[in-house]
Amino acid sequence: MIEKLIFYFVSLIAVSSTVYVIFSKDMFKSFIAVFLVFLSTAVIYFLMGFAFLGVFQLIIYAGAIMVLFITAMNSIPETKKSYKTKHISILFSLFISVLFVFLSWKAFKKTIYSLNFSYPQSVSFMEVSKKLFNDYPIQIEVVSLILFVAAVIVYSFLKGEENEL
Amino acid sequence: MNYEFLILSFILFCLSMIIFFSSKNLIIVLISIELMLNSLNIAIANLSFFKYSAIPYVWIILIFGITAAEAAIGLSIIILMAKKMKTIDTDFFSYIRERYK
Repeated sequence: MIEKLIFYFVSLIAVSSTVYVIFSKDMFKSFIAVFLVFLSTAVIYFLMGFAFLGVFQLIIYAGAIMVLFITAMNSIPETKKSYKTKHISILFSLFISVLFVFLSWKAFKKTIYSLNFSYPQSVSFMEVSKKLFNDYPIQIEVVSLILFVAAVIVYSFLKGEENEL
Repeated sequence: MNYEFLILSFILFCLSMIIFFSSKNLIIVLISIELMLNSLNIAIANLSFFKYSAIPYVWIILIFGITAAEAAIGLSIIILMAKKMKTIDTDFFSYIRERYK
């Protein structure tokens, strides 16, 4: 019962923060709202019983990525920090969202009813590591390559910019 | 609780799609992509309810890595564009595209 209450409270925070980002004109306040969404997602992972996914969420999303965004925002001093939203686009995207929900519900329906629900036991970190490095070595290599290439691209972009200036 | 997680991820995905289409700020557009991936992660984590397995964990960890790379590259491109053109307004870039068509 308490778990359900916490879930509803946290999901309310997540949804209202996301709605706030739509109408917010201040970039920094939007970042704080997005930070709240990431925090509430971490709490949801903890509620699901995926403790280390919650920890990963806190470290990577709420920690690294948000700090990256705030640093990027501060490194653009020339641009104005507030922007208006396009109200016609909101209607358009609402239509697309409704269409998306309808189509994905149709797609999910078959899968959901054919499977039996069961609450998960907690999967140990050792099990996940074994799965990662035994069954998915190529994916791990590809993701590490992507991260490395991203680091090189960012370095070359910003270094090139520095040299040009 | 199973359906609630799925419904929440749907709602978050739709809201982030609204942000993606309605925002004029390039950084907020990038943030909306992060939010979409975040809601996708909730949906994938929800798949663990179907059958006891570690596979959703594995995929979510892989998505975390890709998200970090995407954010870094996207932000560096936005910083470059902002320094060259003094704006991160999406309308301005649409105007440039129309002009040089």
